Amino acid sequence: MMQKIPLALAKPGMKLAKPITKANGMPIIASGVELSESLIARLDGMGIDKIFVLGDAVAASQNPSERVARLDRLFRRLEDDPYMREVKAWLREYFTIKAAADAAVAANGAAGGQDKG
Amino acid sequence: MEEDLKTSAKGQILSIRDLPTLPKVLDEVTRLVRDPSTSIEAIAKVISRDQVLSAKVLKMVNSPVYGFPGRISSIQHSLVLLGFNVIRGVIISTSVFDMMSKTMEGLWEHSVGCALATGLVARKAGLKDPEEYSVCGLLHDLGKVVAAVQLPELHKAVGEAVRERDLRWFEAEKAVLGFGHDRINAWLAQHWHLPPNIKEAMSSHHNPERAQLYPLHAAAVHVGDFIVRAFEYGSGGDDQAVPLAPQALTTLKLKLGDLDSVLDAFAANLGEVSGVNFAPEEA
Repeated sequence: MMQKIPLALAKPGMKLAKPITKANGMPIIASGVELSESLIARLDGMGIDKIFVLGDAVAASQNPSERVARLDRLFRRLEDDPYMREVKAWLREYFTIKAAADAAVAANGAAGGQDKG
Repeated sequence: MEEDLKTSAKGQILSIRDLPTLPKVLDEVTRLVRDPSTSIEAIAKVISRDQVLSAKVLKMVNSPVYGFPGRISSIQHSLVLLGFNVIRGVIISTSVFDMMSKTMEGLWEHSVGCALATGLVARKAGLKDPEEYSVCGLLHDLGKVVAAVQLPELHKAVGEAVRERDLRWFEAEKAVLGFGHDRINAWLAQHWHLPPNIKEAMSSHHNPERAQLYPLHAAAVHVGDFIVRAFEYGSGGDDQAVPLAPQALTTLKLKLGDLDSVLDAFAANLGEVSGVNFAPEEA
């Protein structure tokens, strides 16, 4: 799966699905390269506004580990608000439990596969 | 001075010349609905004449957003189950996003996600006619799309303020334009004669405590918007959580923990909802 996203939504850890090229088609960054904060800033500096990245948006939204990892970023301007700290803690607990449940299911699935084999 | 800017911006936003024209059948249907003796069959017949539009409406109402997945086979059936106001909202949102799908990347997904979350919140709160809440969620950011098309330079400046000053889109609008999409929503709702509950949800979703007549609608969309942002499905223009108004939950008689099952259902239905897309696929 591949999706085209505006650079504004690029996040460190995403991988390029298509190379980034100059206007004349000359590649600057190869596909498969993982984005970092500094690379995103450089792309911004070069005037790149859209990129193709691997993965699909739904999977990232549905993945509870990914949700836990994104909480600090999402709530970065709400840390001074006691109620929003409570809301964030609730989300962290919710997604952490979901992630643990997913991991347990995955482990069972792997064990089940071995039994059959 | 500030009022002058507001008045001129309002004029620009509502200038009919560029405002997306809504499907002709909508005018005709709106006229029909004014006459209480009009039958549902007659309304359905008019909408069904526009086959492309009907197909889009059926695709949307059969998504999990409205709670009858895959069970609505005709426009007439959709009118019976969901009511004219919901169908009208669906027609408006698909028409506007159809014409403007590329203006704000991720906003369609954000809107469909908000519709799903808002409907789930309404069901959890035990509210009557949850579909009406879903359509409020679907339309809650329409002002952003319309502003992007009608005020392209200012729209660009808002985007830059989001990036450079780490603002949320709503804050950046107020910094650049002097008002937010909530205000634009109110103008559009007035202009398109949307029902008052949808209008208030659209104009008060950032400040649900200010809603005068339909606090439940404003509160449900407020919470729905918070949820779709927590999942980062689509984009409302920035990558931040929005402050959740504690009063919105009080209004809905819900506690944070009550939302656990809403988040469960949201995540479970997201895959199917993501298929509700009218934009042409890009290679």
